[in-house]
Amino acid sequence: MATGEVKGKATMKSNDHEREKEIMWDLVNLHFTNMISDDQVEKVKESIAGILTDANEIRSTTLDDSFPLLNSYQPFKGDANE
Amino acid sequence: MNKTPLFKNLRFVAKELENKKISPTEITKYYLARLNELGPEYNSVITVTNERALRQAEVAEREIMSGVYRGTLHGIPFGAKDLLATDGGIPTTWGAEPFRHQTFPYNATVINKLCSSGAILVSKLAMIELAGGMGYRQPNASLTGPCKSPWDKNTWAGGSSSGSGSAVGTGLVPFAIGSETWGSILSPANNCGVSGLRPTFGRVSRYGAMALSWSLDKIGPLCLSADDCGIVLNEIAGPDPKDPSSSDKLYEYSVDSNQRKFKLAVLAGATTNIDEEVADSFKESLDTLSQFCEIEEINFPEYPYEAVTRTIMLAESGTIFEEFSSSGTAALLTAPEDKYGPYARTAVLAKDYLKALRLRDEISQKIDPIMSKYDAVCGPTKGTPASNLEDEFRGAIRGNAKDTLGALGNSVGLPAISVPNGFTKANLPTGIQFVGQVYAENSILNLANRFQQQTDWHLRHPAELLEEI
Repeated sequence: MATGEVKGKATMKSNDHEREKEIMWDLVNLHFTNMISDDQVEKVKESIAGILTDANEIRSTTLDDSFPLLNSYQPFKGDANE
Repeated sequence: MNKTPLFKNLRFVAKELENKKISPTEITKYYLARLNELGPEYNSVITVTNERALRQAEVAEREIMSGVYRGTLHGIPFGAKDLLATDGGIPTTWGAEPFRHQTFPYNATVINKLCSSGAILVSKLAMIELAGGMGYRQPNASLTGPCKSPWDKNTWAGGSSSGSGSAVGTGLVPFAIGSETWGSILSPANNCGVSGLRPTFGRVSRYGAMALSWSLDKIGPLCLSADDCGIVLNEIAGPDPKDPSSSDKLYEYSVDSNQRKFKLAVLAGATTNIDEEVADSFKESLDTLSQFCEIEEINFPEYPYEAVTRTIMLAESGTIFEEFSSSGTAALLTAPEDKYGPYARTAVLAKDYLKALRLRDEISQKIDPIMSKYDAVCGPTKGTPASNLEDEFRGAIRGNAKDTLGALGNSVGLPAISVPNGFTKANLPTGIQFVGQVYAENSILNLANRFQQQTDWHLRHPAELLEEI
C-alpha cells in the first residue's frame, strides 16, 4: 500500500448499485434459500436495497484523519495461565 | 388500605410504606389485582408473578415492621420488560412465540439490584418480539398481540418496551423497566404519556438481558415522573463484573436544590415534517422552558447518523441471531415482516460495519464538546402521536421524519428522557425529549423535573383508569 494515501477515506468506487443489489440477493438467497418464501422475495430485496443505501451513505462519508483508527482490541489481561 | 397508591409518585408511596400506613403485602395485592384484571385488556402483561411477588412482599413487610428500612423502593412493586431474565421458573419470552416457554436459572442484574433494594417484582411485561430488531412495521408484532395505549385502546402503546409504558400509564405498576436500542424506551413513554429514561450506554448492567445489539442496548426505567426515573436509576446503575461493558463510573441521583437557569439547545429543524399538533405541543413547551432556560438553536455536524446507527444494529443483531435465523424459526414470529426480517442483514459487509464504528467514534468525539455546553438538547420525542393498532409505519419513532436526535443519541450512547408535554385534539399524549452529555443523567433529570414542576401533563390520567377495581 502506498504510504500516506487514502487512510480512512471514502471507498468503494463502483456505482453500479443495481448489480450490487443482485449480488447481495444471491448471497442472501444462498444462505437462506429454503426459508424465504416466494411472497417474501421482493420484500427481502427491498430490505437489501435499504441496507445498501445506508452502506453507500457510509462509504461516501470521509473520515477525519485526525482521529485514530478503530482499535478496541486488547490482549487478554486476566490472570496468566500457570 | 386507607389511601390508594394509584398514580402516586414513588416518594409519596415510600413514605406511606416507611410510616406503616400501608403495607408491602397490601400494595402488592392491590397491583396484582390490577395486573390480572386490566393487563389482558391492554395486552401489556405476559406473566403476572403472583406467588413470587407475595413471597417478596412478606419479606419486605417483616423487615419494615421490624424497623429495617432499605430505602425508597422498599416494598414497592414493579414490572420488567420480558427480555430480563428471571429465575424460579418464570418464563422470559423476549415477546416472541418461539421463546414462549424459555426460562433461565438466574436473574438479570437489574432484577437482582431492584430486589436487593426491597422492590417487588409483580410482572413480566409485554414487548415487541425480539425487541423490534427484526424490522417490525406494525403494532401487532408480539406474542401477546398489539399493546394498547392507556389513552385509547385503539392506539398503540409504542415499542419495543410496550408493556412497560402501558402498564405504568394504566396504573398496573408504580414503575417499570424497559430497554432501548433505538427508540424503545422513548417511544412508549411518548405514546403512553409517561416519563421514560434512557441512561448512558454502560450506565446500567445488561447482564441477563436479551442482546439485540451489543454496542447499542441500554436498560432504563419508565415511570410517572422524571423524579421517579431518577430514584429508580439510582438503584439500578453501577458497575457489574458480569457485564464488561458496564461503566466503572458510580452514579448518585441528586436533585438540584437551587433554582438555577438551565442551558438548553434546540436542534434546528426539530419540527420539520412532523405532525402539526406534535409541533404545537413542542412550541408551547419551549415557551414554558424559556422561563428557566437559556435556549439556543444549534446544528450538529453533517454525518449519516441514521445510516451509521442502523448499520451497526443490523450487523450486530445479524450475528446475535445467526443461529435463530439459520434455523428458520423466524417463521414463527407474529408480524409478517419479522418472519423474513433477519435474512437481508447478511448483506451488511464487514467493512461497512467497521466504517460505521469508526464514524461513531469520530461522531462521539465531535459531539461531546457541543453537548458539554448545554444541560440538554431537546426535540419532540416522536414525530406523530400514537398510531392506530392497524396502521403500518415506516419507522417506530419518527414516522417519515428524520430521527437525528434518536440516531445520534443511541449510536454514541447519550442519555435521554422523554416526558409528556401536551395532548392532541384526540386526547393522545405528545412528548418532549431532553438528550444530555454522556453520564449527565442528573442534568436532564433536573431539567425534566423543573419542566414537570411547571406543567401538569404528567399528572393527567385517563378517567376510566382512576376507578378502583
